[in-house]
Order: sequence, then structure tokens, then C-alpha cells
Amino acid sequence: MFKSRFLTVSRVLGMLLILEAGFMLLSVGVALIYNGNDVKPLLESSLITFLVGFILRVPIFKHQTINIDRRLGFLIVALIWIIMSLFGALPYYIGNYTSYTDAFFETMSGFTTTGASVIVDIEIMPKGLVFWRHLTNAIGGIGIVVIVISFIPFIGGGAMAMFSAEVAGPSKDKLSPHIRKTGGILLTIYVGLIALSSLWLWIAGMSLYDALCHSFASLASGGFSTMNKSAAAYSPLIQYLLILSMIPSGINFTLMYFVLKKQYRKVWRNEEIKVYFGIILIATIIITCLIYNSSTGLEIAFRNSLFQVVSVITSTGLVNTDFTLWVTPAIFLLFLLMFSGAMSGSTTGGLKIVRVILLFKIAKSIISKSVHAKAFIPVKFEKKVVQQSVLSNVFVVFMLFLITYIVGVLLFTALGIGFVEASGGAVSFLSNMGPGFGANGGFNNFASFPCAAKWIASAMMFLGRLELVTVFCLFMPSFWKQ
Amino acid sequence: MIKQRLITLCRVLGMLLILEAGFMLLSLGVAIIYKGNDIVPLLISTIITLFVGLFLRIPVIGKDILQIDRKLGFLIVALIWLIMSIFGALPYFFGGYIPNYANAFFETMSGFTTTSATIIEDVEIIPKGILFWRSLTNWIGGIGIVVIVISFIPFIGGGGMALFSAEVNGPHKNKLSPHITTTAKIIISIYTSLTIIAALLLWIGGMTLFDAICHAFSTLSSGGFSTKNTSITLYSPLIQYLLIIFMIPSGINFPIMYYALKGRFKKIIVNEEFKAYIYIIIISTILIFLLVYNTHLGLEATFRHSLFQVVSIITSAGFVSMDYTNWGVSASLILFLLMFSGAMSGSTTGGLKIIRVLVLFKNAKNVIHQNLHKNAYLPLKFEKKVIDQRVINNVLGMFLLYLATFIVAVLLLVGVGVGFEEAVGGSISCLSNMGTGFGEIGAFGNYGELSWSAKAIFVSLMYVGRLELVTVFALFMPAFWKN
Repeated sequence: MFKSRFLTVSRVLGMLLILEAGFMLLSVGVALIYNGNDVKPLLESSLITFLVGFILRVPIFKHQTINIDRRLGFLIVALIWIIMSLFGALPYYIGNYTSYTDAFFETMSGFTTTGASVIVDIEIMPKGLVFWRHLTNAIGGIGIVVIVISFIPFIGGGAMAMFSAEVAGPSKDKLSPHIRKTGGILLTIYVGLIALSSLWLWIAGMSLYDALCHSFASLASGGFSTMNKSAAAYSPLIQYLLILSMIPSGINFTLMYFVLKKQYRKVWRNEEIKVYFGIILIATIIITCLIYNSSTGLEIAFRNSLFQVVSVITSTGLVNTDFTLWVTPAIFLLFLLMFSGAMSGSTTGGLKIVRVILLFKIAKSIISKSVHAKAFIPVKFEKKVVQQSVLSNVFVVFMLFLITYIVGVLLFTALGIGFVEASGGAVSFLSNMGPGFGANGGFNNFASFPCAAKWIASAMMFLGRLELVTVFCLFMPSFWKQ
Repeated sequence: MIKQRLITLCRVLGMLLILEAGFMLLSLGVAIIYKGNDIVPLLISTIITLFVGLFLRIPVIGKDILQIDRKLGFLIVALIWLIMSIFGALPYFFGGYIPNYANAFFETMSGFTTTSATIIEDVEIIPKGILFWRSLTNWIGGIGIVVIVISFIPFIGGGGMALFSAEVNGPHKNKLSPHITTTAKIIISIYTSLTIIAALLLWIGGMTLFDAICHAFSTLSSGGFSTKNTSITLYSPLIQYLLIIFMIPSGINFPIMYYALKGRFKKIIVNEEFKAYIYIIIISTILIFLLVYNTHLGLEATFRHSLFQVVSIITSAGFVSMDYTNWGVSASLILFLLMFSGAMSGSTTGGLKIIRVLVLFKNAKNVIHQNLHKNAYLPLKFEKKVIDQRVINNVLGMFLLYLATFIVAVLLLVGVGVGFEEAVGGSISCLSNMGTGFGEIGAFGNYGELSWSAKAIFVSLMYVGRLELVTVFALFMPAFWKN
């Protein structure tokens, strides 16, 4: 029993490593085009990754039927990120561009679509390596969605539990009865959006290479940039286009599909998307008012505000201005948005808006309880009463998030990191956001973090992303059946 | 109907004002003993308060049927603190010790809510009668909150207050006695006896009789007002240990203290909240000790200050034996978390209360466990009894409300120009009725330098925190006033 489980895990991981090697090969191609010194490291990394993947898939023992149960599922999903990052770090390390700690951090940051960086000057790095870096964002983004979908057949068929419709109760808003087909549809939407984004960025003035890289980063809610100054290095027009590229990364994939199929009523009924745009609107207005000053003008205040709000709420992390220079209330607002995240079933990190909504409603119910002198007030979402199992889940995710955050800040400060940097960094990693605060803020990076802190940060990025998937799995009603 | 309610409201408030005047009279006595220049202000304040109280109790129209319903109950509980503070500020104001009435109100509200954030620059030049009144506001506030809520539970149905873990265990468990008056009397006797013993021991330990009494008032009430500008930092180690000994009961549930007196120790051992309270103190002290220890300070002193600060903060007292703002960020974070948690429910402390923290943690553990072993439905047990899932939701709701209030407060404070550190530290401090802060407010909890709007926000936090949020928030919902 144990053997067959072990074999199953190796086979799956092996397959993913082979896939990863393939993507590295793409980067080799880019490296060749630009004639960098990264051709050899990328090629070697690709080869090593491929070999290990291949070995893991060699049927040494009798072929057992794949027997993935819930716990095995958790294990595989957890291991995926770690294994992929371990090998994904090779190009940086083999080529001597960074230490292994830094390489692992950067790779984990890529796959978890965090976008935090420890590289001080990205512009002197060879193009093939940078392309690989951005590719980790893209893979990470779609990976999270595809992985869960692929695992549904193993853990139990049926419901799609990663969308807010499912949060409030079983619903008929499924994309398609066939899970594999759904995966295909989502992949198409994703790739399509990347292509579209690359196109308009290229037309607006970016080089094709930069347009592609930034599209990878935006659509995946990643946040890596090819420029040290991130989006600030580009024109206002491009910044607006980047905002346009980031917004879909915060939208539930199902809803995007419904928009394509012109089933607008389903979008209309969705409470989460209304709150998503509502938060963006209100936060932008408030911050614009706070940061406006007559010398630089209204357009800049509006643009910076909108860009940062969208970037933070979609946990992308591209930066078009040094927001650590803003007035404190504005910075604090951004900090709060980092916890929230965007819609469920998107590539973003954080708590997710549907949970934030439910938490607000739970808080409100305690006041209503006193108002109406009742012992308990039920919580409703989209006009239906929310099941207790859902509330329990929301509660546990919130508590885990909070506790992990606090422990993270404690550990960072104990390692000598300043309070502002620690609190900002911790939420940035946990929500898979990217930018830091204080000394790590603005256009800076996390290079100044002590070595041990970088590993803790990698762990937090991993936890932030993983918890998400675990929650998806836990959510599925079929998960509970035998 | 409204007229009846209004009359009852006036009569109740009137009675409390008369009581307040009585306490002011005590302070007047002290002023006379010390022959300070505060005799006249205290006299005038006493007379005014007494007269207004009497006036409110004149049976103007109709009979005096005490008909307290839910709406009235809430209103009374909410208004008590406001009215008492409005009049309680008079001695400071009339004597010119706090020339600004808003500041005097701040100091008084801080006293009654047992927060003990202060705006007074130099406490030691204030005459003894006023200082006595100041510490008395702590003492009254401490016992007041417990007695008032007990008296009003039948009408307001708990109102969200975790008194005697009523919220979790149901309102009929852990009652000292089926009769409210008897319960109240028992509690008041325990409280008063402990205060007297504390005063005696502190006096023997080296404090002047006056200081001993004042500190006893502010210790047992989890208040924290000191007659010294430097709080407890300049007192001897013996005094500091004595204060620790008496701060600890201020965080303990009154029923538990009653059981201890009656020798019913089995009931105490079974109490999960009590055990958690002790464990948290032990573990936090150890952690802080490790973080703070240095050879310059020495083993005993480090231990003493760690224990003192942990106990002072968890019981929301707010005494300071050493300036903890120099202890580093990690230590500050631990202290911050303690500020949020508070001590046992049904004690005089503020904060979320340990019972809620326990329920939240247990539930988290439970849900994770359930998800890994999908076959088991594991009900949440507290002291071997099952807790309804909806009760857990209510506890979560309270926690979220606290968090939301804290976040909004910080946002407003930084918006009006308060530094971030001060905003965060001050908000949690006032919300949990603690007193001491961080940054410019500092370990000695001095809010004097802040702007008017900042003080207004802090005062509101103290008030709302004492009433555990819901009692006040409910009043703002239109649905509350309809029938």
C-alpha cells in the first residue's frame, strides 16, 4: 500500500519535472536568440530536470493502479511546489548568478506568483534567464487552477469547488460537466488573455520580449518585471494597459467564461465580483484624495492610486510608484488590501473577497443578534443561507492566515528585521503579493533579508499558495464521501 | 410608554449619581485631611452631582414602576459610563488641575473604564483629594462593570458580554447564586476584602498609607492609575512582587475566587479558562525573559520585570515596572498580543477574554482535524461539554468585530495625523482598557500631547471596549429601535 502510494507520487512528480524541463527548453531558445551566457546553464538545468523526471517515471516495480486518496492528494500538491522550485532554481545557481538560497527564493516566488525578488539588478541579467523567471510566474498562475482540476477525479468527481458559487452552497453554475474539458477551457482563456495582453503592450511601445514577460507576470498575478523600476519605467499609456492586464487576473475564471458565452445574468448575480470592483473603486477614490497634491496634478495621483490598488488587490505586485513615500493612511489602506486579495477561483492570493464578505457578515450577525434578541442569526450569501461547513472553513482559513502572519512577523523581527519591513514582508509573502515596505519597499527588494529569513519567506509563500489549494480540496462536497 | 421609560431611566441614573456623589464625599474627606486646595472644587462637585441625582429621582409624573425592558437596559448600561464621566470630570475641572474640560472628561472616562491612559503631565503636584478621587474612579469602574452587567443580564440577555462565560456556556451556568442581589453582594465583598488586604500589605511593604490605598484601588480594578509619574518603576522589588500578587486576581473570574474561598478547589481545576490564564502567563513570561535577559540587568530583575509586565498587560492593569519599549520588537509583539487577549471573562479586565481565544483555537484545531479524517464529526468540547456550532460563530463574530474596530481606529488615527506606532499601540491599549502604549505615548501611557480628534477617538475606544462593543453598536442599528 505504501509502495504503491510512493510510486504514484513519484510518477506524478516525474511527469511535472519533465514538463518543467520543457519550459526550461523554451528559455534556452530565448537565450540562443539573445546570445547570452545563460545558454549553457539553462540547457544543463533542463537536462538535469528532465533526467530526474524521467527516472521517477521508470516503471521499476509492477505498474499499480493510481490510488490517490485525500491525504495523498494533499501531499502531491504540496510536493509539487517544493520539487519544482528546487529544480527551477538550477539555472540561476548553475550559471552563478545567485546563491542557491536566493535562487530558491526567486523560483518559489515565481511559482507561487508572489513576485518578491532578491535580485538587486535585473536589467544586467541575461534575457534567457529572465524569460525563465517570468515563465515561472505563468506556470504558477495557471498551475494552481489546472492542478486542482486535475485532482478532482482522484479525490472525488463532481463539484467544482473553487468558485464562489460553490462557497455559498451547491450551485448550477458549473462550466462544464467534464472536468478535463473545463481545464482545457480555462487554459485557453488564460493563454488567450496572455496573447491579447502581449499584443496591446507591444503595440503601445514595449519590446515584444518585455510585452510577453510582463503579460506572463500580470495575468498570473505574479509581478516580476524586466525592469528594476518595475512599471514606473514605462509610459503612462503602458501603465494603463498593465492595469487592464492585471484586472482579469483577479476575476474568477468561470465568470470570464460566462462573459465569453454571453451568459451575463450569471455574472450579474455574482456578489463577489460586485464587491471586487466596488473595493477597487472606493479604494482608488480614497487614495487619490489622500495622495493628491497640486504640483504633480490629478492624473498622476489617479493613475498611481488605481495602479497600486489593482496591483495589490490582485496580488500582482507590479509597482508604478514608490508608495512607501505616500502618507501613512494611504500606505495602511494598501496594507489592508494585501490581506484581502481578489476573487476566489482566480490566480490571486490572500484571503479572497468571498471570505472577506462572509467574515463581515459573521461580524454583523453578532450585532444583529443583540438587536433582535436572538441567540443566533444565520449568515446569507447571494440570498441563500450559508452552510455551517462553509462558515467553518472560512473561519479556519482566516485563523490560519492570521496565525501564520503573526508567527512570520515574530520570526522576522527576532532575526533582526525592522518592524515595518517584517509586517509588510510577512503579508506580502503570505498573500503572494510581492512588494515590501520600509527598506524593502518602493523599487527595492528583499536582498537585504538575512539568509534564514529568506527561507522563512519561501515557506510563507509556499504556505500561502498551498493553503489555497488545500482549501479548494476541502471544499468539495465529494471530498467527504467515500 | 416612552415617558415611563424615560422616567425609569432618569431614576436609575439619578441613583447612580447620588452614589457617585457619595464617593466624591469620601475624596472630600481625604482632601480635608491633607488640607489641600482641592477641598472647594470637590465640595462643589459633590453638591452639584448630588443635586442633579436627587432631581432626577423626583417622582415627577406617575408611579415609580421599574419597568426595564431590553431597549432600556441597553440604554442604561451604555449611558451610565457617559453620565458618570461627565460629572466625575468636575473635580479636575473646577480645581483647574485639568483646565480643559475635554481633557478632564478623558481622564475620568479613562478611570471608570479602568483604562488609566492619562493626560496629566505631572501627577505628583496634584493635591491628594483629587488623586484619591482619580484612583477611586478606577475602583468604582472595576466593580461597576461587573455589578451593572449582572444586574442587567435578565433584561439585555447577556448583550454579547462574556460574563462568567455566559456566552459560551449559557447564561445559567457558573452562577454564584440564583439571586442577583446575593451574587452582587458576594462579588462586592470579595472585591472590597481583597482591596483592603492589598492596601495593608502594600503599606507594610513600604508605601505610604495614601499611596497604598490608591494603588490597591487601581490594582484590584485592573485600572492602573498610579500616584507616581513613573508608575511602579521606582518602587522596591518587594512592592513590585506584591503588586503582581494582587494584579493576578484582578484577572480571575469572580466565581473562581469564590470557590477558592470556599475551598471547592475541584471546580477551579476543572475550569479551562483559568488553566489557560495561568499557562499563558507562564509561557509569556518565559518568552519575554529569554528575549530581554542581559547580564547588565541580572537574572532576578529580568524575571521580575518580565512577569510584572506580562501580568500587568494581560490583566489590562497598565502598571509599568520598567520601560518595555526598549525591549525590542519581538517582545513588543508578544505584549501586543497579550493586550488583545485580556484575561478571564467575568473579571474586571478588558480585551477579547481568554475564553473566546480558547474557543477560537480549539475550533481551528477541530476543523483541521475534521478535514483530515473525513469520517469523524468531532463536536467541540469545552470542559467536557459540547459547544453548539452557532455559539462558535458568535465568538468568531466578536473577534472579527474587535479586529474591525481596531483596524478602523488605526485608520482614523493615522488619518488625523497620529504616528503609526502610537496609533496601533494606543488603539489596542484603549480598546482593551489597558492604558500603556508604544512610541510617543510610551510605556507610561501619556496621551497628553495628542490632538483633540485623536483623544476623542481614544476615549470612544475605551468606552466601546469596556462595553464589549456590541452593547454600543446595537444602539446604532435602526432595527434595534423598532419593535
